[in-house]
Amino acid sequence: MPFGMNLWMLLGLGAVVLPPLIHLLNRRRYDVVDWGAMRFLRVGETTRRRLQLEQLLLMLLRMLLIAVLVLGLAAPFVEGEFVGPLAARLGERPNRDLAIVIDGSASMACRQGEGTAQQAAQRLALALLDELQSGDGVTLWLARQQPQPLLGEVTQDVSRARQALQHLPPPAGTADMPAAVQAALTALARGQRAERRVVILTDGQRFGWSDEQTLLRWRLLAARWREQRGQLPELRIVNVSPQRPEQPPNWSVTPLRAGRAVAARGQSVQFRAGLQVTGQTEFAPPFRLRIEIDGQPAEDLKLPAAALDKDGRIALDFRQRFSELGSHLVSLIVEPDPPPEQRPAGYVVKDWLPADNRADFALEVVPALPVLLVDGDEANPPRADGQRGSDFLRDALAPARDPQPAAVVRSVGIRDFTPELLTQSLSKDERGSPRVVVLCNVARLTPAQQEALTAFLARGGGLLITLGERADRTHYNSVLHAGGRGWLPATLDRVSGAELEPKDAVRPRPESFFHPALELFREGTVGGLSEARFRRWWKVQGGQSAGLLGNGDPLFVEKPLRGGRVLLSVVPLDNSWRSNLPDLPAFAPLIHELVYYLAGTRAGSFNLQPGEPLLPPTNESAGERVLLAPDGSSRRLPAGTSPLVEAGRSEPGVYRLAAGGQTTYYVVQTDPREAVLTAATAEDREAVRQLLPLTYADDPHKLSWQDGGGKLDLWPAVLLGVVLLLCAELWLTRRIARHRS
Amino acid sequence: MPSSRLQFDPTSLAKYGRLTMIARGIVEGFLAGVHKSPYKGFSAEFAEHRQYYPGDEIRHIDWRVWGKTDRHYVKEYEEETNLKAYLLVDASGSMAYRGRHASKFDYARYVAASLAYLMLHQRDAVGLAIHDHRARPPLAPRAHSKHLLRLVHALEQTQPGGETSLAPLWHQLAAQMKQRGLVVILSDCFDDLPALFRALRRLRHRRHEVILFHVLAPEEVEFPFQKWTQFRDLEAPAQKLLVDPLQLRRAYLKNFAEFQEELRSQTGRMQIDYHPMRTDEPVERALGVYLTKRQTQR
Repeated sequence: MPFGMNLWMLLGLGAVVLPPLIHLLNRRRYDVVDWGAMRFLRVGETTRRRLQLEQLLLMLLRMLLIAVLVLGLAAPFVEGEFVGPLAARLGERPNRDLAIVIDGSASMACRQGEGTAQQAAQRLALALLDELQSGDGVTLWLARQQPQPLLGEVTQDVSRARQALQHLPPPAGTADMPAAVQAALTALARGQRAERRVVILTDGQRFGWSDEQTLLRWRLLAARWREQRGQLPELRIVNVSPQRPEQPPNWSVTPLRAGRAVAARGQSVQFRAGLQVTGQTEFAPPFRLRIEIDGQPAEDLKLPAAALDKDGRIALDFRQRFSELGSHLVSLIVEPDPPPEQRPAGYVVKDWLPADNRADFALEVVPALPVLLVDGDEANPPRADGQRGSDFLRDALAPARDPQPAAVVRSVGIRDFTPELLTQSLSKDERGSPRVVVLCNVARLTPAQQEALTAFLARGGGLLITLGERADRTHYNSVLHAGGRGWLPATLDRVSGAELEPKDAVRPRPESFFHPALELFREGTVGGLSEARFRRWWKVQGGQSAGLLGNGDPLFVEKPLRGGRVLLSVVPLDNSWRSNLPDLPAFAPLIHELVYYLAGTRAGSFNLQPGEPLLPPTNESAGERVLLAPDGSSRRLPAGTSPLVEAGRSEPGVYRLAAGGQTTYYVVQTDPREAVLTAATAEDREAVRQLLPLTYADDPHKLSWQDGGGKLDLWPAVLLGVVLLLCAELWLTRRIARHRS
Repeated sequence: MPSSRLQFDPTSLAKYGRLTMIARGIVEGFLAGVHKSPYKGFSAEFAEHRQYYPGDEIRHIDWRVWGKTDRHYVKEYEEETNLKAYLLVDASGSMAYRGRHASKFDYARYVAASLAYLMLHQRDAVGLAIHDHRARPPLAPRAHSKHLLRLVHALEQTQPGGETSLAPLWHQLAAQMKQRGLVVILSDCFDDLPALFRALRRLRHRRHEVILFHVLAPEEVEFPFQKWTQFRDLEAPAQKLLVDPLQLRRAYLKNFAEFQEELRSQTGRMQIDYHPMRTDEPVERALGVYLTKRQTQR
């Protein structure tokens, strides 16, 4: 009979020698009494035998009691195919705790046959609940980017579990399965049952189960559990879509990106995305590809005719202008298959997972961007030609003859740069405090100025630093960079090049312009950025390069901070050092791109990764707000609530914040890898199984507790034995005590 | 070698009033004392007058009566006789048991000395026989006050020990005691009971009044031991018994109670005054209480 127990606990059986040992020790440690009444000590033979028998019996009872107690602590069990049915027939099945983890990722919406994978999981989970008997416990978890407790604690109220299963949220985003399993294990560990099981209902997708990142998480989970808990409950993995092919046909849209998250009214914004096609041998164009602005149909895109690249992708881009101020939602939607009523007979569906057929982007349209230019020129009055370096930037951003400039610019000298300028409105028409500050060839900052800029960046502001002749290397390195603790992206090395040697001038390298602010200039055009010549430039060390010069030196270096962003230009963005940059047609677009990119820092909080908190907009109106979540649920939020959705709680999709007649959009992006429905191979599954002692139960019908893996705990019987032995010991002890008295 | 100095303080009995050791029966003797004598004669205490008959001693004629009545009467005196008491002190090995209090032998000899003092004080003759493993001659009863010192000395010189059979000694003593008297036995009686009873019966048969002071230690009565204990026989040190007292207690107490009950009932039948004494009770108190009770029962 296949018995089992914790063999280490059996070492405790050594404790059975304690009663005889105590007896012997007592015999060794005796008193000596010279006694006269010896005749009364000599009891009869019968009495002597009775006393000896009683003592022997008592000792044996105590030894047996210890042995049975140790046996109970070793958690004995018997297992085998006969155990489950036997226990069920006897009606003596011990109570158990069950944790059900349901994959809540977007791939669970994959249609196959009559329903989705999630519906299959729902049916299986309900069947599992049917098997529970009175006294059994259950906990329910939905595996998402953050594990969601449907029933976080082990409860014996099965009706609550049924109710929770009936109202499963629609699949969305990705699933962190190890985190969900960990949460379920922690919940089970708080329960009291010896027999515990975790059933994981998933669709067998490789991503989220055995990809590299998930394997690492499984490894961490296994290590943590080994350190903390020791013995894992039984883990069963059920593929709710066993018939799904290894590579199901699917169309999806990769995340939508824009050159800028903030745009001026009427400004053209370029959007880029891609179509990801998997599981199809031949490419057939989708039925429709359309754009929605704020949920309203805008226009259809031309259907791509190009073949797929080696990764099965087709790049898409389009431009869009926005005439209305405020927050806008741009959506790209692909419809691979015609509506069912338009499908011809025998039509083969190209897309099994409709949930990933759209991509969204939240864009902020502003009237004009408030920009503060701080010029390093201390000469007062300005130079003889009447021009300062910052004037080139001012002219690029807000030309004097432009009635509706893209930016509201204020230019001040370094001496006049006070901290108050960063919090006050730049102009009389109340267009707001600066969102971008440009330090134009500034030599050094006072501590107050430096502190004010640090606070400005922490609030999400953008800072552009242009280096030039005046930059004080020592000050920049020791104070502004401060070994990486400051906000300066790189340390200044030296000024390179010669102003009088035009042949040594360097040009930008457009092919290195992958940065969103420079993407526009990657293709060399007449008058483009590639024609700029820099006779002198600062060589810098460290930081993230955002574009290179022809000699490989960085042209721009970036440092993303917790709040805002800092871009460092190694050349002055004016005509000093005999640069031809301001003369190029690309100069004004370059300054626009840089400034709008930096302004988009704050707008970046509208396009989020799963789990990131939703923060209220800075210009929010007073009064009550209503937040509409991707799953359709809405919440009323009192004014001042921040964050709107806490970190770790945001789900992929579009959130809409309605306040004061205006809607602010938040887009939580989906991981594009979730659209790859490739199933985990046998090797993938084995890789996870080697980390954790789990069982793959591919046949959902064999999920029953009474199947081959049945296990019957023997501890209740052992406990009964302990109680009986205790009673016997008590009875005998009292009997002996009665004799003694 | 003297076993120990007998810390005997006769004045400690004084607090129980004027105690006397009085025999319940009539004792034979001719010395003045507190005990009644069956003989009437000429003594210090006047009893009655009778007519003179020839042959009577002339010196006993009451001349005052002759002067008043002109008849010859002689005076008769009720003779006060002394008591001949024998103190039998058990000095067997078991009497050496010493618990948390004085040993039983110390207790017994203290009682014996106290009784001797009392009886000598009332001009009774007191003899002493100490029973130990050696045969030693008893001290014959004497009423002289200096006899007390001899008695005390003899008690001091005795060391309890050895295995002693009391019955033969008592038989022997009964044969030696020609005159009726008082026999006071101080013993734990840890001996063969039937033999003891036969010896006691013989003493009673010879018309002696017998008082049995059953000297016991409280440990022997209560058996309070808890831990494993090795009991070594005081009369035969080679005999040892390692037992768990808690197991044996019930059987021990049963045996002991039966023993004591047997002793009490048999001595009752023989009209022997049986009085148990515990060594945790002060001697003077135990003796005082006993003697007071005895006086009231006279």
